[in-house]
Amino acid sequence: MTIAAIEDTLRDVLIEDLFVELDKDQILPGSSLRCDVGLDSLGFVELREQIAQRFGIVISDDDFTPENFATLSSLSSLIAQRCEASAR
Amino acid sequence: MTGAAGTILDSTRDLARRVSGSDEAPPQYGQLVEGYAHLALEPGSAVLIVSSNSVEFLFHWIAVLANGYVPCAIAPSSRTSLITALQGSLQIAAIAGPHVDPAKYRARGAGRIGAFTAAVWPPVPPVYDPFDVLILTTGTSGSQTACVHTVESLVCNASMTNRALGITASDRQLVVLPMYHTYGLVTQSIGSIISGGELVIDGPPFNAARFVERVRQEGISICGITPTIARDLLNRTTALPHLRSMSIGGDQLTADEVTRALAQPLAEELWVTYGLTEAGPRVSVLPAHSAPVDTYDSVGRAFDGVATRIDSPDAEGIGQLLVKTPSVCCRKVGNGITRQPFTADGFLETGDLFSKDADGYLRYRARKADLVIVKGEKLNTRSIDVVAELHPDVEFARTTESHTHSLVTSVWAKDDKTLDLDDIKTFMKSRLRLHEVPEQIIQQRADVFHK
Repeated sequence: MTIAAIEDTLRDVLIEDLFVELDKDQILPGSSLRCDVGLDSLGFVELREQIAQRFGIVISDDDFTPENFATLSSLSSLIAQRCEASAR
Repeated sequence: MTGAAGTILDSTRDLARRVSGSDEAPPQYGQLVEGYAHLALEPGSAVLIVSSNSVEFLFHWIAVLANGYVPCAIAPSSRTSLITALQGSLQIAAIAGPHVDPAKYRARGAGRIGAFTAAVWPPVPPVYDPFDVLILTTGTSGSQTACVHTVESLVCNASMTNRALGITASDRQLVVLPMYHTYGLVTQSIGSIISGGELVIDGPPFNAARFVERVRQEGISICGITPTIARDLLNRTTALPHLRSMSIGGDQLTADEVTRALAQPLAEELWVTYGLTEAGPRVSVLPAHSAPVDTYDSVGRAFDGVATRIDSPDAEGIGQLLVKTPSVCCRKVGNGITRQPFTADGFLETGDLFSKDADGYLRYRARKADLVIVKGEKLNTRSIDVVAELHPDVEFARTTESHTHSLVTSVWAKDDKTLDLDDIKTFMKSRLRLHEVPEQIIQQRADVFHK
């Protein structure tokens, strides 16, 4: 799965599952999930659960950090790494 | 202007030096004050601030006050439908936040203030006074009520907390709780402002490892957390860095958990607190590190200057806790408020059932029926019912907490037809914050309706 595809899936998760009130094209790779998308603490917990369902990977406590969940881009990179690791 | 308001406004002289966060650039306070002045609102006009934890948020909150407006902080995940409802219910004049879209709110004007966008609604006559502060009650989506506090009452409460916990200018405090709730805003942020200490603002997602790292790296001496976070930290196997003081509040901690927290230890001093928004918020505190073991199941004793009484106690001494505190709110406002929660002799009705022993220790027994804690967040089940009942096919709804602590909403159909429960869930999800959405929706038939 490419980074672009992961980002697109994440946009779907944010809009369809977390009911973020933004259009898809307003969520940019560099958008801050906290400041631009408006996720709060429970929103991040829900996003973590949705990622597990959509991508079939587990986001560990060690990976559940503000740095990894900072932007669409940083989160996509993390998911790509974990997907690759689980495919090995 | 009261002395308390002056203290908050004057703090901006050196606040940029004392407060840090993850903001890319520190806000220019003077520009924020000017930006809000350009909105040209009437004194006493309420301004919603929709933002996550940041230094920018804190400076906006103060800049709103400085203009004689009334700040009202709200979660950044709040839906447009809630904000629109709040605007009507609380007579809000303007909204500001990092990503406010004026078009969504049919604004009559808009502009940039610092990193925020502000939108102004059609004028409403101000129903508040300068240096009032609005604090939403449970912050639940179906509930559009708030407490009207004054800067003075909030500073008074923060000051009582600082005194009781021995917080001084030499402390460095970490804020991980949402600043749109009283704990993060009043107890921690205002507490640090008036103590002269330093404040480190952090935000979600909360992660125990990061919390530990922040405490260590930032040289934090005090922090406040919820029992949910405390349990997370207690489940860690690695040692926690030294903290001078940790306070825990917002929900109940069991005696066993207090014992574990002291044994680990989470901090040199462990303070278990009780409070509610109406009271400003803190009412009582248990210094668990020095208290008798048989008081670990309590929330301690009321602060000096705060009187408590158990109303109509039953045979076991349990009754509603009444509180008389100098930091009480002036009144509650919003649609659905039919009476003020005060007794004739000036005590606040907390709605919580407590007992009080001969030494004054308060023990929590039960919460008001409509309030539940889900995923560490307090919410009002009636407000969830209100949202479900907005669905065109739903006649009545009743939300309860299941034995697994999840929400279950029973719905009754108009004309007793079969309901599309998925559609109702989607409808509710679009209007509620995530933790408010019931895990299960069950259709009940008219013959099992209990009003």
